[in-house]
Amino acid sequence: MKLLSHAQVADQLSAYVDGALGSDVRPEVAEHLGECAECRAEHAELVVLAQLVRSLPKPPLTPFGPFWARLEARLPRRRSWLPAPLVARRWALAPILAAALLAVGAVGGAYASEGAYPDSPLYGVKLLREDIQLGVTSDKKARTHLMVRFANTRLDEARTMTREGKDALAVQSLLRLQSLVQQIGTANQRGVDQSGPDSDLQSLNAGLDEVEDQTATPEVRETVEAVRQEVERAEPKKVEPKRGGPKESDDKDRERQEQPKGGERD
Amino acid sequence: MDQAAPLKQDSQAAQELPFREEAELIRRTVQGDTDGFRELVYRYQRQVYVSAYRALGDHAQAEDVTQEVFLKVFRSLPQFKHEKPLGHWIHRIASNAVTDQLRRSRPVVSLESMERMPASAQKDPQDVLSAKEGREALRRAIGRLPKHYRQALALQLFHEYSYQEIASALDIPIGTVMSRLSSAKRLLRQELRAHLKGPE
Repeated sequence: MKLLSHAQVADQLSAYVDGALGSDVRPEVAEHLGECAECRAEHAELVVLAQLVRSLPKPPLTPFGPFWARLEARLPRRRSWLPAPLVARRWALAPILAAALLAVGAVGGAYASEGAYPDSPLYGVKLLREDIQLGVTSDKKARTHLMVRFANTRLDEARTMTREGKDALAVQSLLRLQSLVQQIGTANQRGVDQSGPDSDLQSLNAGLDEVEDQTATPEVRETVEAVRQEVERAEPKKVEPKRGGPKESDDKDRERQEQPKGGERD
Repeated sequence: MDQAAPLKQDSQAAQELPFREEAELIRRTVQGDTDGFRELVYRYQRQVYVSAYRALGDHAQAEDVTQEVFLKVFRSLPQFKHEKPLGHWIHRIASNAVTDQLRRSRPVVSLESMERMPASAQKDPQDVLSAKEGREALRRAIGRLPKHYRQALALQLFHEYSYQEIASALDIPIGTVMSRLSSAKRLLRQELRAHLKGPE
């Protein structure tokens, strides 16, 4: 049986102390520890570290009720303009929705709704129109472009709502924007339309900055941040040529590198 | 209906929550049913709070972070793909929130902690440093680690995750978990050693 090298043992000491090594490797590590003073010192430090972690105090018991009351008051209202069972199947409902659009169009409301903002009674009609447009567009590239257009519309709504101090409505638009960006990201991952939406998605970031600058409401700021992260995820990955030496990366860069993918290096 | 169960019991209870029941609660929450979300929060709040408290050592901060975690969960739930346990996803969000808070925190270091440590400290730091100072040093050191190390370390130290659970929560191979924890602890030991060493 070949014994582990010093470097191999050093790399596994942490797992050894944590009891995470297999029984086939543990005896070899233990044997090396008996012979190597450097690894013994490292092992001793790891044991002290583990003791320190174990000494972190457990909190007192806290009641759930007050926690929930505070949280519930902060939850953004989530409203759906379609009944729940229909939300899941809305694409399959495109023909029915198209008929509904005709009906709505017949009374002239649909087109009048085009410039409606979330505080308008016609806003629901506007969303219905958009959903129908997406539902009847089967070409994937055209669908993606439509989603990018609607994402920009949501951003414009959020900007207008925060400007008018209607932060709750702004959050609703941002959440819809987040959902659209997520769908665009899925399309990008599937290789749909690599050329178009990327630049449009990047332009969303400037608009998000504007929304953030216009409000001091934490809820809006947090939602803006969530949308930003979604935009980051949705952008098609580009292979850039290496330039110069290694660049110091901040946490965001690291996070991006951390996205699960094959052949991850550590 | 106040809960007050130890971490491990909560963790086990959450793991035993049937997948379908959890899926139903997620569906209800996404549709705007706050009662469904309340049920989900009830099942995971204690675990998140305990780990935040262990990491931050302060009730108010731990409570705030726990609130933020569940707000994030609520907002992001529509995008959550229920292919693995919800708890892993929640704890991943929590570990990020907790370590980000650790990074932002600038704890006041008392004069006492700046005192020169005698040589014997290297053998058994806990004999020399007060437990409180040791914990503060540990927290500061974790806050300074690169994010991917902090994340894995927080899941292990504060959430008491096994290597396998960390791998699942972070979508990385177990070998990567092992190497991240090993590197993180190496950096941590260097940081703590520097903290323990007094001026020459």
